[in-house]
Amino acid sequence: MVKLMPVIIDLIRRPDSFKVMSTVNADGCPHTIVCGSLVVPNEETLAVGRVWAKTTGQNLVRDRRAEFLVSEGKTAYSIVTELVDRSEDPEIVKKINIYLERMGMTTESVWLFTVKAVYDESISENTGKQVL
Amino acid sequence: MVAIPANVMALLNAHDSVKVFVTADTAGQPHAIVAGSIAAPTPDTVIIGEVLMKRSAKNIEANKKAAFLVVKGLEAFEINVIPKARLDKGPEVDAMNQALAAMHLHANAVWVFSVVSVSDQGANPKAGTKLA
Repeated sequence: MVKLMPVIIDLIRRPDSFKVMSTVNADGCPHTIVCGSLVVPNEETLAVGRVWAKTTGQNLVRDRRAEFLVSEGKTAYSIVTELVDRSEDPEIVKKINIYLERMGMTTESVWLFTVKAVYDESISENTGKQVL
Repeated sequence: MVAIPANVMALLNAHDSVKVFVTADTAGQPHAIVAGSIAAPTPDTVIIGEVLMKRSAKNIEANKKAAFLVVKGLEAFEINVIPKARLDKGPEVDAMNQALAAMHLHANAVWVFSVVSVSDQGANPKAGTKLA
């Protein structure tokens, strides 16, 4: 069981940090989308609103693995995860929609991912080091 | 030959857009990094400096499929590529290191990629539409 450190949770929760989610297509080609709505319901879980994620959705049906990259300035972490569930929990959906509404979007369901590992991807000598 | 549309080229070569390099290992694990050294010297070519690059460089050696995501505000485009060359010396590497010097970074090599396809990944209903 991997628990996100407060410094990483803080980075994810900052509205202006940059967040993307990567999956892999059936042909082995990686696919990445911007995540405007990444939230941390608890320190072992990430939640993402399902909005226009067509290829990502197809990829997750075939392979539950996804990697999130969160960065701000020279600091960055990649979070290796696995899809565990789809949720319509109103509390989580409400939190996600706070972010999405800023971009003129809403969702009625979210994907829940469990954290498997975290790597430091900052611009520093620690780049590539597994931190969790 | 697939050519990157002019508006995507402009975003790719802009200093204020965020650029992500995405790879996957042969087992299907995706990996993304933010990189400031991404540029498109011609509409059918994208380059990136090999700066503090560990997993990404390993992945591209093993799985010759990668993608670039370029983002500014609600605009985002994904460029699927295949590697053409890894240059570890020559004018391309010198020019890259000249550009990186201001950030106190150094590229061991310059990766050159051919463009395979370009798709819209912006926060809009056209997300996923192939442009080229």
